Amino acid sequence: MNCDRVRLLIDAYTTDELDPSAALDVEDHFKACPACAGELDAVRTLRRTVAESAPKYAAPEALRRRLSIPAASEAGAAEPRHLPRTKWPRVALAAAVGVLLLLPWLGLYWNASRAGAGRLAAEVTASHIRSLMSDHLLDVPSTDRHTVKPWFNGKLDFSPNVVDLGADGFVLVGGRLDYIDGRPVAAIVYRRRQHVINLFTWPAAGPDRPPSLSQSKGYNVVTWTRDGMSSYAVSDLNREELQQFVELFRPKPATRP
Amino acid sequence: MPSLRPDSAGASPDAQPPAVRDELLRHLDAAYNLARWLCRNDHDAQDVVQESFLRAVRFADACRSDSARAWLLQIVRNTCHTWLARNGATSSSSEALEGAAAPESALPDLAVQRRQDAGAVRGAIEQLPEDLREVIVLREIEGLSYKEIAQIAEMPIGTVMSRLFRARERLKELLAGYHGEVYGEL
Repeated sequence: MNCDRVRLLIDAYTTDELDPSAALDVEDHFKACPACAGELDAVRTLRRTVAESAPKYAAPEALRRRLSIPAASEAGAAEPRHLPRTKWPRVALAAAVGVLLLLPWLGLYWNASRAGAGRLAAEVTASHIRSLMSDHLLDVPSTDRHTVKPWFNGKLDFSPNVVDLGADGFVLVGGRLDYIDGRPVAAIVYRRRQHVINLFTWPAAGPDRPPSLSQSKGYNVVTWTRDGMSSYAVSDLNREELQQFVELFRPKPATRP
Repeated sequence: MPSLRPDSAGASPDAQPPAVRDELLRHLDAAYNLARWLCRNDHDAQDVVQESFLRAVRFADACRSDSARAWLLQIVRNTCHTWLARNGATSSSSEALEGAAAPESALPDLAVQRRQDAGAVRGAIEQLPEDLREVIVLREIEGLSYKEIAQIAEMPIGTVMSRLFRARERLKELLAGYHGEVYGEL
């Protein structure tokens, strides 16, 4: 074994990561070559120095707390959040612009829809969880929208929109009658791989609202209003795919009786 | 170690988001340590770790590794490289002059000595070029195996070994004066 090769292996040798035969070869070489033996000592000294003196940094508590809460931390997923400590002017500017843009919207809908949306997101998430726990996911198990949609006739005072998205990998598995916000609603159930998507729909007053994403208990919730129908899609599916689902679902106009 | 893949999580795919988060949080110190050494300051390191963490949670489905730590560190490493390239690697070095967090000793002389040791060693590691610094940090400070480093840094084990060798050579040069002063008479 030549010196160049031994030098490459010294590190592995000092941590017992060499297989026994290579270790023997290296040891033989150390006996015959004082230069490499000196190198071995130097490597050991260096390892010890680094181990004793180089700090092993621990994550700051504030960072750990921020990352422990799903909803709060994932809201800023697209862009890393800047800490107010040194970059406050940018944060302050962004916040000011944000508030200005949101002001009219906030004023109009804060009480009516914002607070309500949060409560409803929690309510549909609870219903989603219940549907998976109680094994009462489906009243009408069917992959055929022409079976699922008519099933709701006579059970609801509206006809929910049911779309076949099987070609896009969102398989319709059926429908269920559920109870949200003090009224009976339609729950249309789709599956993406092992992930269940509950899509709740019911008539709602108010203007159209584009889809908005939130999180509740670790589940992703997308809600929107169109043509007088309020919809909530809930799933443990990642948000990209859930948003893709909503985009595929939405273009078809809701059908009303 | 629980796998990150929901497919293998078995009965409860719905429990995936919290489980992934908890598993990744267990390796937060390792993630921060790597980012801190690569960025060379706390502020950038926190930003990088936060971005990496969210990415890891988001793309947990794509994790093909059995080790959540290696998966997270790989993302941290890549995020650091992107970050440093974007910000022109002009990280403030003012923090590098502050004392390091070495354990204090009851003997004042020894405490001062330790701080100097820590400062010199930290300074030397921080002076290493990035490609050498990352392997020495993963190896000597995080205590990872060649195989894990090879996976995190996406390079063959032979490259890991040769980089470690080069990193050590550079460190010895950088610490030569220091060793002469401090350990000369030992």
